Amino acid sequence: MVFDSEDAAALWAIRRDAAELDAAAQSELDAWLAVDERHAGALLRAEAALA
Amino acid sequence: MSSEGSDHTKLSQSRREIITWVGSNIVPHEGDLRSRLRRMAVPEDEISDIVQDAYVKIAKLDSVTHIRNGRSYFFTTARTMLLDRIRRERIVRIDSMTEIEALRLADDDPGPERRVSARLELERVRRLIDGLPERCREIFELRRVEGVSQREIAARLGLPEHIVEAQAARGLKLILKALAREARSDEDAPGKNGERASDRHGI
Repeated sequence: MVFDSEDAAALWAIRRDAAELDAAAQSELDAWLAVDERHAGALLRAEAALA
Repeated sequence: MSSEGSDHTKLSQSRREIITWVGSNIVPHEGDLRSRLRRMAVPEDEISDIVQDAYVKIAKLDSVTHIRNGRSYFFTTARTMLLDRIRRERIVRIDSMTEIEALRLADDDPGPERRVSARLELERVRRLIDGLPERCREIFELRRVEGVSQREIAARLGLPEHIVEAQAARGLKLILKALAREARSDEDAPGKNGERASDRHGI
Protein backbone atom coordinates (compact mmCIF):
# COMPACT_ATOMS: atom_id res chain seq x y z
CA MET A 1 0.00 0.00 0.00
CA VAL A 2 1.31 3.42 -0.90
CA PHE A 3 -1.51 5.74 0.07
CA ASP A 4 -4.97 4.53 1.06
CA SER A 5 -6.38 7.55 -0.67
CA GLU A 6 -4.09 7.59 -3.69
CA ASP A 7 -6.53 6.22 -6.24
CA ALA A 8 -9.30 8.59 -5.23
CA ALA A 9 -6.87 11.49 -5.12
CA ALA A 10 -5.71 10.74 -8.67
CA LEU A 11 -9.28 10.75 -9.93
CA TRP A 12 -10.11 14.03 -8.19
CA ALA A 13 -6.92 15.59 -9.51
CA ILE A 14 -7.86 14.62 -13.06
CA ARG A 15 -11.41 15.87 -12.58
CA ARG A 16 -10.29 19.24 -11.21
CA ASP A 17 -7.75 19.57 -13.96
CA ALA A 18 -10.34 18.86 -16.64
CA ALA A 19 -13.01 21.33 -15.61
CA GLU A 20 -14.62 23.20 -12.77
CA LEU A 21 -16.58 20.78 -10.65
CA ASP A 22 -20.34 21.01 -10.68
CA ALA A 23 -22.18 21.33 -7.38
CA ALA A 24 -22.77 17.62 -6.96
CA ALA A 25 -19.14 16.71 -7.65
CA GLN A 26 -18.00 19.50 -5.36
CA SER A 27 -20.13 18.14 -2.52
CA GLU A 28 -18.68 14.70 -3.14
CA LEU A 29 -15.14 16.07 -3.03
CA ASP A 30 -15.85 18.08 0.12
CA ALA A 31 -17.24 14.97 1.79
CA TRP A 32 -14.16 12.96 0.81
CA LEU A 33 -11.82 15.66 2.10
CA ALA A 34 -13.77 15.83 5.36
CA VAL A 35 -13.39 12.10 6.04
CA ASP A 36 -9.67 12.26 6.74
CA GLU A 37 -7.23 15.20 6.71
CA ARG A 38 -4.72 12.98 4.92
CA HIS A 39 -6.95 13.14 1.86
CA ALA A 40 -5.98 16.79 1.39
CA GLY A 41 -2.33 15.77 1.35
CA ALA A 42 -2.98 12.99 -1.13
CA LEU A 43 -4.89 15.37 -3.39
CA LEU A 44 -2.09 17.94 -3.26
CA ARG A 45 0.47 15.29 -4.14
CA ALA A 46 -1.63 14.04 -7.07
CA GLU A 47 -2.28 17.54 -8.40
CA ALA A 48 1.38 18.45 -7.99
CA ALA A 49 2.48 15.36 -9.91
CA LEU A 50 0.13 16.48 -12.64
CA ALA A 51 1.39 20.08 -12.62
CA MET B 1 -7.14 23.72 2.87
CA SER B 2 -7.66 26.45 5.32
CA SER B 3 -7.78 29.35 2.90
CA GLU B 4 -10.44 27.91 0.66
CA GLY B 5 -13.02 26.58 3.08
CA SER B 6 -15.45 24.56 1.02
CA ASP B 7 -14.90 26.53 -2.16
CA HIS B 8 -12.86 24.10 -4.19
CA THR B 9 -15.09 24.47 -7.25
CA LYS B 10 -12.71 26.87 -8.94
CA LEU B 11 -9.11 26.55 -7.89
CA SER B 12 -7.86 29.79 -6.43
CA GLN B 13 -4.72 31.40 -7.79
CA SER B 14 -2.92 30.80 -4.49
CA ARG B 15 -3.89 27.14 -4.54
CA ARG B 16 -2.62 26.81 -8.13
CA GLU B 17 0.64 28.43 -7.12
CA ILE B 18 1.05 25.99 -4.23
CA ILE B 19 0.32 23.01 -6.47
CA THR B 20 2.86 24.21 -9.04
CA TRP B 21 5.44 24.89 -6.34
CA VAL B 22 4.96 21.45 -4.80
CA GLY B 23 5.30 19.90 -8.25
CA SER B 24 8.64 21.66 -8.77
CA ASN B 25 10.08 21.74 -5.25
CA ILE B 26 8.72 18.79 -3.27
CA VAL B 27 7.70 15.95 -5.60
CA PRO B 28 11.16 15.74 -7.24
CA HIS B 29 12.68 14.99 -3.81
CA GLU B 30 10.16 12.38 -2.68
CA GLY B 31 12.13 9.47 -4.07
CA ASP B 32 15.30 10.60 -2.31
CA LEU B 33 13.49 11.07 1.00
CA ARG B 34 11.93 7.63 0.77
CA SER B 35 15.30 6.09 -0.11
CA ARG B 36 16.93 7.65 2.93
CA LEU B 37 14.14 6.48 5.22
CA ARG B 38 14.45 2.97 3.77
CA ARG B 39 18.18 2.99 4.48
CA MET B 40 17.30 3.81 8.09
CA ALA B 41 15.18 0.64 8.12
CA VAL B 42 11.98 2.57 8.66
CA PRO B 43 9.14 0.20 7.73
CA GLU B 44 7.54 0.88 4.35
CA ASP B 45 4.11 1.67 5.78
CA GLU B 46 5.71 4.14 8.20
CA ILE B 47 7.56 5.78 5.32
CA SER B 48 4.32 6.24 3.42
CA ASP B 49 2.67 7.70 6.51
CA ILE B 50 5.54 10.12 7.10
CA VAL B 51 5.61 11.28 3.49
CA GLN B 52 1.85 11.61 3.39
CA ASP B 53 1.81 13.60 6.62
CA ALA B 54 4.37 15.96 5.13
CA TYR B 55 2.05 16.59 2.17
CA VAL B 56 -0.83 17.13 4.62
CA LYS B 57 1.20 19.79 6.40
CA ILE B 58 1.90 21.58 3.13
CA ALA B 59 -1.74 21.26 2.07
CA LYS B 60 -2.74 23.23 5.16
CA LEU B 61 -0.58 26.19 4.19
CA ASP B 62 -2.15 29.33 2.77
CA SER B 63 1.09 30.22 1.03
CA VAL B 64 4.52 28.75 0.39
CA THR B 65 6.29 32.02 -0.30
CA HIS B 66 8.02 31.84 3.11
CA ILE B 67 9.69 28.52 2.24
CA ARG B 68 13.14 29.26 0.88
CA ASN B 69 14.10 25.68 0.11
CA GLY B 70 11.46 23.07 -0.63
CA ARG B 71 13.78 20.11 -0.21
CA SER B 72 14.95 21.34 3.18
CA TYR B 73 11.36 21.97 4.28
CA PHE B 74 10.29 18.49 3.12
CA PHE B 75 13.19 16.69 4.83
CA THR B 76 12.90 18.76 8.02
CA THR B 77 9.17 18.03 8.21
CA ALA B 78 9.79 14.33 7.68
CA ARG B 79 12.53 14.30 10.31
CA THR B 80 10.24 16.00 12.85
CA MET B 81 7.51 13.49 12.15
CA LEU B 82 9.93 10.60 12.44
CA LEU B 83 11.16 11.88 15.79
CA ASP B 84 7.57 12.29 16.98
CA ARG B 85 6.87 8.69 16.03
CA ILE B 86 9.97 7.46 17.79
CA ARG B 87 8.98 9.36 20.93
CA ARG B 88 5.56 7.76 20.80
CA GLU B 89 7.27 4.40 20.16
CA ARG B 90 5.37 3.89 16.99
CA ILE B 91 8.60 2.81 15.35
CA VAL B 92 10.45 0.00 17.10
CA ARG B 93 13.75 -0.17 15.29
CA ILE B 94 15.90 2.90 15.09
CA ASP B 95 19.51 2.12 15.84
CA SER B 96 20.71 5.55 16.75
CA MET B 97 20.06 9.24 16.44
CA THR B 98 22.95 9.32 14.01
CA GLU B 99 20.55 8.05 11.40
CA ILE B 100 18.15 10.88 12.11
CA GLU B 101 21.06 13.27 11.80
CA ALA B 102 21.67 11.91 8.32
CA LEU B 103 18.27 13.26 7.30
CA ARG B 104 19.26 16.71 8.55
CA LEU B 105 22.45 16.61 6.51
CA ALA B 106 20.47 15.56 3.46
CA ASP B 107 18.19 18.57 3.56
CA ASP B 108 20.87 21.22 3.07
CA ASP B 109 20.61 23.75 0.31
CA PRO B 110 20.74 21.97 -3.00
CA GLY B 111 24.27 22.01 -4.33
CA PRO B 112 25.05 21.19 -7.93
CA GLU B 113 24.75 17.46 -7.33
CA ARG B 114 21.32 17.76 -5.75
CA ARG B 115 20.12 20.16 -8.42
CA VAL B 116 21.17 17.52 -10.92
CA SER B 117 19.35 14.94 -8.81
CA ALA B 118 16.13 16.98 -8.91
CA ARG B 119 16.54 17.45 -12.65
CA LEU B 120 17.05 13.73 -13.09
CA GLU B 121 13.92 13.13 -11.05
CA LEU B 122 11.93 15.38 -13.38
CA GLU B 123 13.40 13.51 -16.33
CA ARG B 124 12.39 10.31 -14.61
CA VAL B 125 8.80 11.56 -14.43
CA ARG B 126 8.95 12.27 -18.14
CA ARG B 127 10.23 8.72 -18.69
CA LEU B 128 7.39 7.42 -16.58
CA ILE B 129 4.94 9.18 -18.86
CA ASP B 130 6.73 7.69 -21.86
CA GLY B 131 6.37 4.26 -20.26
CA LEU B 132 2.65 4.51 -19.61
CA PRO B 133 0.29 2.19 -21.44
CA GLU B 134 -0.30 3.57 -24.93
CA ARG B 135 -3.77 5.04 -24.43
CA CYS B 136 -2.80 6.59 -21.09
CA ARG B 137 0.34 8.10 -22.57
CA GLU B 138 -1.52 9.47 -25.60
CA ILE B 139 -4.10 11.15 -23.35
CA PHE B 140 -1.45 12.41 -20.94
CA GLU B 141 0.60 13.96 -23.73
CA LEU B 142 -2.40 15.61 -25.36
CA ARG B 143 -3.45 17.11 -22.03
CA ARG B 144 -0.10 17.90 -20.42
CA VAL B 145 2.10 18.69 -23.42
CA GLU B 146 -0.34 20.08 -25.97
CA GLY B 147 -2.84 21.49 -23.47
CA VAL B 148 -5.83 19.93 -25.20
CA SER B 149 -9.00 19.88 -23.11
CA GLN B 150 -10.40 16.59 -21.90
CA ARG B 151 -13.52 17.15 -23.99
CA GLU B 152 -11.44 17.80 -27.12
CA ILE B 153 -9.31 14.73 -26.42
CA ALA B 154 -12.46 12.64 -26.23
CA ALA B 155 -13.61 14.06 -29.56
CA ARG B 156 -10.24 13.52 -31.25
CA LEU B 157 -9.95 9.93 -30.04
CA GLY B 158 -13.62 9.11 -30.55
CA LEU B 159 -14.02 8.10 -26.93
CA PRO B 160 -16.60 8.97 -24.30
CA GLU B 161 -15.26 11.65 -21.96
CA HIS B 162 -15.57 9.39 -18.93
CA ILE B 163 -13.21 6.90 -20.59
CA VAL B 164 -10.67 9.66 -21.18
CA GLU B 165 -11.02 10.64 -17.52
CA ALA B 166 -10.56 7.05 -16.37
CA GLN B 167 -7.50 6.53 -18.57
CA ALA B 168 -5.94 9.79 -17.37
CA ALA B 169 -6.58 8.81 -13.75
CA ARG B 170 -5.06 5.39 -14.41
CA GLY B 171 -1.95 7.02 -15.82
CA LEU B 172 -1.65 9.39 -12.89
CA LYS B 173 -2.04 6.50 -10.42
CA LEU B 174 0.79 4.63 -12.13
CA ILE B 175 3.00 7.71 -11.94
CA LEU B 176 2.18 8.26 -8.25
CA LYS B 177 2.98 4.65 -7.43
CA ALA B 178 6.25 4.87 -9.34
CA LEU B 179 7.17 8.08 -7.50
CA ALA B 180 6.74 6.20 -4.22
CA ARG B 181 9.26 3.57 -5.21
CA GLU B 182 12.94 4.02 -4.73
CA ALA B 183 14.56 5.69 -7.72
CA ARG B 184 16.07 2.90 -9.71
CA SER B 185 16.48 4.47 -13.13
CA ASP B 186 14.75 2.55 -15.86
CA GLU B 187 13.29 -0.04 -13.54
CA ASP B 188 10.72 2.54 -12.53
CA ALA B 189 9.08 2.90 -15.88
CA PRO B 190 5.70 1.20 -15.82
CA GLY B 191 5.31 -1.29 -18.64
CA LYS B 192 2.72 -1.11 -21.34
CA ASN B 193 0.31 -2.95 -19.09
CA GLY B 194 1.19 -0.80 -16.10
CA GLU B 195 3.43 -3.30 -14.34
CA ARG B 196 6.87 -2.46 -12.99
CA ALA B 197 9.99 -3.71 -14.70
CA SER B 198 10.83 -5.54 -11.46
CA ASP B 199 7.46 -7.28 -11.69
CA ARG B 200 8.12 -8.18 -15.27
CA HIS B 201 11.45 -9.72 -14.26
CA GLY B 202 9.88 -11.56 -11.36
CA ILE B 203 12.00 -9.73 -8.78
